[in-house]
Amino acid sequence: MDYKLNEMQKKIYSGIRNFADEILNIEEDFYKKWKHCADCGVFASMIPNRVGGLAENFSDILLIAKMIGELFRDSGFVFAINNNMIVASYLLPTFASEVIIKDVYPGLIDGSLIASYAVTEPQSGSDVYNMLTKITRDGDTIEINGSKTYISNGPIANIFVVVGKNEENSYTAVLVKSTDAGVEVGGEIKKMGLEKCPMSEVFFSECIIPKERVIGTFSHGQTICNMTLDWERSLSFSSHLGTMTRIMNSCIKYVNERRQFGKTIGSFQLVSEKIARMKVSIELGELLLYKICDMKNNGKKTFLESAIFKYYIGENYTNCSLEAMQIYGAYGYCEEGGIEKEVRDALAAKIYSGTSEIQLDIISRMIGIKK
Amino acid sequence: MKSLKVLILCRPPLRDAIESYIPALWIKEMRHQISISAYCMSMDRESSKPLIERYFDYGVEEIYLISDKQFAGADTFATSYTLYQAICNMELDFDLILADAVSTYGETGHIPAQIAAFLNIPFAINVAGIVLAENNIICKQIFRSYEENISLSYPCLLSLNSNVDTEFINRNCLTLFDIMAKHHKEIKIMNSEQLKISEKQCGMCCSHTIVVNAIKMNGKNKHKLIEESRDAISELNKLIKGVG
Amino acid sequence: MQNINTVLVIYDALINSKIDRENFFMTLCRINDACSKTYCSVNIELLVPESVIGALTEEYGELSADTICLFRTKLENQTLLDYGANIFSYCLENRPQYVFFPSSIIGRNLSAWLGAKMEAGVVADVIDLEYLNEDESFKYIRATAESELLARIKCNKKPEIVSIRGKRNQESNKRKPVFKNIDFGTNESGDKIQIMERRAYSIQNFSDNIVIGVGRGVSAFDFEIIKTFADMNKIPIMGSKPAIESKLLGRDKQIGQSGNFIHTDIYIAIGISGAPQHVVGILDCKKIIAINTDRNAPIHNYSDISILLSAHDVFSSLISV
Repeated sequence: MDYKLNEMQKKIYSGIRNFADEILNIEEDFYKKWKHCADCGVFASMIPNRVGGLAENFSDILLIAKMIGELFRDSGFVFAINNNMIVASYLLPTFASEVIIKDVYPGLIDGSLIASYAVTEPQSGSDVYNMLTKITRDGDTIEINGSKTYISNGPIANIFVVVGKNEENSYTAVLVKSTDAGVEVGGEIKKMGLEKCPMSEVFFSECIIPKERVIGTFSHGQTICNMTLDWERSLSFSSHLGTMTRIMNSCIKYVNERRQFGKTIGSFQLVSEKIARMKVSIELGELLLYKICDMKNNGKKTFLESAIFKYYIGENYTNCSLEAMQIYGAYGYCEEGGIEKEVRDALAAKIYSGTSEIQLDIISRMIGIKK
Repeated sequence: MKSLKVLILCRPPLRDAIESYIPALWIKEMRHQISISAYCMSMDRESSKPLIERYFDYGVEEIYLISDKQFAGADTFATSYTLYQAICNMELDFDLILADAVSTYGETGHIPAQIAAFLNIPFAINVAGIVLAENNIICKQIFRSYEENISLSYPCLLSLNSNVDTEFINRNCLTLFDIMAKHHKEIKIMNSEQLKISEKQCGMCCSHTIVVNAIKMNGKNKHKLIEESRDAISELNKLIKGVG
Repeated sequence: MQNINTVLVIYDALINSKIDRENFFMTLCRINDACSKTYCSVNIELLVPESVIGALTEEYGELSADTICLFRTKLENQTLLDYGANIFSYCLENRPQYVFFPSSIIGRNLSAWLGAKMEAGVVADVIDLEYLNEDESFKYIRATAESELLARIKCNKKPEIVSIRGKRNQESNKRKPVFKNIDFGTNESGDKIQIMERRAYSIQNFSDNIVIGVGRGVSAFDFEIIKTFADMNKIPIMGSKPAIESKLLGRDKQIGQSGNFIHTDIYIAIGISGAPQHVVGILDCKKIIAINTDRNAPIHNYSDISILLSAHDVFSSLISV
């Protein structure tokens, strides 16, 4: 296994860097940023080539996710991209029919469609399968009734992948469009961070859709949900690994310039140690990422590895941002410096895609500890 | 005119940044207006291959890297003359030559004008705007005290201003669609024998200037040293008030 | 009898503007200083548009030259190619040994074009020159992009065609000129080039009394503090190449061999190491103040005052005063 970027990946990195520096990071408006990303091919690069994208394998997608986490300054915007990509880069290409793929992929690639993955409900967060949303079959149609909450991209999505319980006591995943009758999107839920990725409730009230919108088979929902959660952990946290790299580099620059007591603050070991620890966690995270890429490229399941990855990166990303704030001092605490935003954006990483505690629970069960 | 044959005389990029590929950005810009068949020529060491290869991502069809030990030590006259001979001996056909305004190493800005003189074609310098008309090309040249729009007939040479605005970059910078497309192209490395350029017609033998030696700049013998903040503030305030 | 060599100095603009006249005059100052050594047997001949000479003389007094050739052809009808071709014809007829242009975009390009036509030695962007009587040639000094040192260059073919950066004042004795009129007849452009529109800019003056320069050592955060101070005191900010490359400033604000040369009373260099490529652009400033915490930075060799404090400390205190 090679632990560094190959020639094509290096070119992609510099292309994304130029795009981020010259175009994306100087734009504030969400929709303009989204269009720029589509025009630059960011979405296409994270979509498999068999559905019209550019990605040839899982490494391409996960390494690009890491690059955008590092190079796109707004972590909320990156989070919105990843929530879109949970559906577009894995869920639909793996499980959806050709009919659905033909319908939505041109829009997902050109940026005119934004996707959202709707699973969480008010009473089912960590206990994800305690869902109350009902999906029932009636001849050629499917009816959905229920509500989802804390749905990232909810207010802006055009398509939702919704998972609900069916009458056979198993689970079904369906594609719902925001324009379908019976779909109502709630007001934006204000959060502590990740402002550029809006979140809301989504309500389904006698929402009727054609049966062709079922993803996979009618009782395939739990498998789809488990595998998509696995992918979500690898994808989003690859971006966070990239963000940790950006935070570390910014700290290195700062401690080499900022002077106190007649020397640079990087000269003080208590300061430099913090950054050295960031490097350790980034290095170990990268090794695990390459392992996950290799396993996924070879068709192997990565439930254990992605749980470890999610837990490790979630914890260290949060620590990294908090240590950066400590290094920057008062300036880090002020809005102007941009560090407090990194902290606010990072803190949720221990919560979404399954909390850190849930990951440890998964890991303990997978290594043979009996309940 | 239905299509345009463009020769890019590119400086060897020193780093991977958009400003190293200005002619390529203009090729993409012109493709919005007309069909372009573009190829690229550069004179440099073989080690510059990875950065010059980027031109394939911008849709350039062929890249010629003119490289030979004999070319070493060339001043701008010898460099331009070598490139001119390469263009003639390879019988390269072009309607338009696009060149970077300044070269990478010497930053003299000599090469484009010298090539235009050798080829005896009209040229425009420090070009910041291009409009393609039916049988001619309209350029905006920018100078210290004025700017002008001129119309040139083909074939002609444009030396490009290195400042481009964000909107221009947005429209034309390399996308992942370009980078991830399969190119399967190789740079063609051409030496003096292949180009039929003799030793006397290139390199130091053909140069009309020579670097005699390198010298250190003369510094100032004494200066005032300030290490206290209070003194620095006082001195700077005095100077600024004195001038103002 | 010793042959008298001719130095032909050519006006480098196709418009009559103050900044071009100033630039031409400063170039002439440097050339005169170089040619003022008693053993230097050259004649200085100027090639200037008739429409410009009045304003030049009014601003700078009688120009120091042996001959001033005034060409009567209207500037607004000349393309660059026409102008170059006319200069070429003049040079073929009169055979000057040295042809000097002010260093500008036009000057460098015309010198290059002419050099190719005449198979001459061409040197760009010279910051100083010295005449060598034994060789009857000049040695030219310029900064190099790759090295920390300056290069001394000589031509091994005549004519020597050079673009030269000006200096503020002429320290040497002035020459008294004889005037002659000439006409340019060449229409090299023909129908290959046509001028559609020519538009003069309002004057951009680099003769401000004080300029601040920022370099690699200035962070984006510090830059904001410096900018606040500069705006309060109406001081323009420019920068070294690293500051341009990190996008703190636009390319038109670059000081140095490949950018602008400034001639201010005071230049404050902040976080600038002092590489020759930058320093050549500030040598003509009356007083240089370097703010750099590194006491070994080369900039301190060229400064009149060195402040070994950080930009942050200095400018946040200055703002609060």
